[in-house]
Amino acid sequence: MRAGTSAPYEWPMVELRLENLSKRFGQRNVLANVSADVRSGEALVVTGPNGSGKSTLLSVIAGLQRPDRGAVQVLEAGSPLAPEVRRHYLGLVAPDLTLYPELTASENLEFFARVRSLPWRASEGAALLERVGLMGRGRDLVGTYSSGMRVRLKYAVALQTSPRVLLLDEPTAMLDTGGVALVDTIIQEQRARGVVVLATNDPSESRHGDLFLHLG
Amino acid sequence: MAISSSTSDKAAAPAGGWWSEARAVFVKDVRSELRTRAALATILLFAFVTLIIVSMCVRTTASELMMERVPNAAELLRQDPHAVIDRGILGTGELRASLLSALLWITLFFSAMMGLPRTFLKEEEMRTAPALRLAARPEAVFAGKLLFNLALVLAVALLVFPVFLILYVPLVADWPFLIAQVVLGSLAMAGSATILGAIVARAGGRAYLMLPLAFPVVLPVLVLSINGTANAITGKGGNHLIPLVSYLVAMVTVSALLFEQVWNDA
Repeated sequence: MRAGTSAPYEWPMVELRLENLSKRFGQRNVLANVSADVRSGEALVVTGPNGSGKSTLLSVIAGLQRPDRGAVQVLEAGSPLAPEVRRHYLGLVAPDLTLYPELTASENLEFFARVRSLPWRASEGAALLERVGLMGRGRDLVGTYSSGMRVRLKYAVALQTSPRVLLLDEPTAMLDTGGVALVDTIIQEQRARGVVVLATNDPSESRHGDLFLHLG
Repeated sequence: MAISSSTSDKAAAPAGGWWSEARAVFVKDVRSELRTRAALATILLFAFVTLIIVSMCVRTTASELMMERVPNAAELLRQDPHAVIDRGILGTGELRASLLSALLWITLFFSAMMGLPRTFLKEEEMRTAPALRLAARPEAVFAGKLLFNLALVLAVALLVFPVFLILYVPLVADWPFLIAQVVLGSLAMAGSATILGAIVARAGGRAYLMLPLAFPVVLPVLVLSINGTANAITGKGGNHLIPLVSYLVAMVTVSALLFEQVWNDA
């Protein structure tokens, strides 16, 4: 069901299209003919019991896993983007995604900027850290961070590219109330930029949804 | 801060090319290695322990080998070591050169195969690989990791080779050829270990697979390097450098072509 949220766009229209995605692990069907169509300004909430394939679906959308059948398409202004270009359009925050603990937060941001061919400025990195509530902690090794701080840093890395498609797996897990409020703001801002997909079973996170997909 | 307002064109128009991305991977790996010393410690520990144990337990220096046969061996060696070998007093000049060069390359091979895959294994073990896979293009990851492995194996050769010279005192006839042999042989091993490390890391991080996988692939490098090093020590000649360069170029080319399949296959 499409709720028809409208937002003022300064970005070209983007569309995430999932076409009959299927994925098996051994004998078990994790995803079976999953389809969805999410447009700029919309949030898709993926729900389902543990092991139903929520994280796998996000991983497939991000291109980290290949579907056995079906396809993921990201369209900008109606034209599909080539898979090698998509990495500049996607941001992912997930429990399985780990940043480099032996590097500082600033070094992590610098690395992910440079490896994506983004221009790196330390001031921009500091602003991003401030944005996610890690002001003054940029020189600390990520290995010394608490779980919640690591999640905040994942948001900083994901937002570096100003992604058009933001994928959030258990978006507020490990976060304190300030972190939850930050995620709410990020989701609202993401609507103006493009699409957001949330995998969650938390009702307070599900309220962001315009479209819902139940797995399992 | 509204991120979208200051970076509104980021997603659409990334600047820079794969070389700067590869350099970023290389710098990150060097930085990471300097802090954790995960690969360097493994490699150097194995190399030094092997060289020291063998030097303590086996008679390998020329004077030791000669002592049993020639009473004034030390004096003769001091006066003219090459004449001693040429006249056949030692009787084992070529044999000794072969043994020493085999020892050097076995040490370098096993230590390299234990340490070089770490660059990929660590990404999978620490679960940083998905973030890297998501952000970087495969060719940049391969080039960055290859550069890191080349630098690492050269650093190891730079540390291990002098220790080998001090402990085993080879009577080297052709120093430039010997140094070129060690450098190229090390680079060729690193060139093949990079893709093998990626395969092992994707095989559930089963590090024990590295040696059986690497042995047939690296065997030509080992044979060429052992023979080339022995020839450099005895001054016998015979160019093993061109085949080593050819191997390195072929291996890196094939690895670069295969890497995306290995890295992204899931």
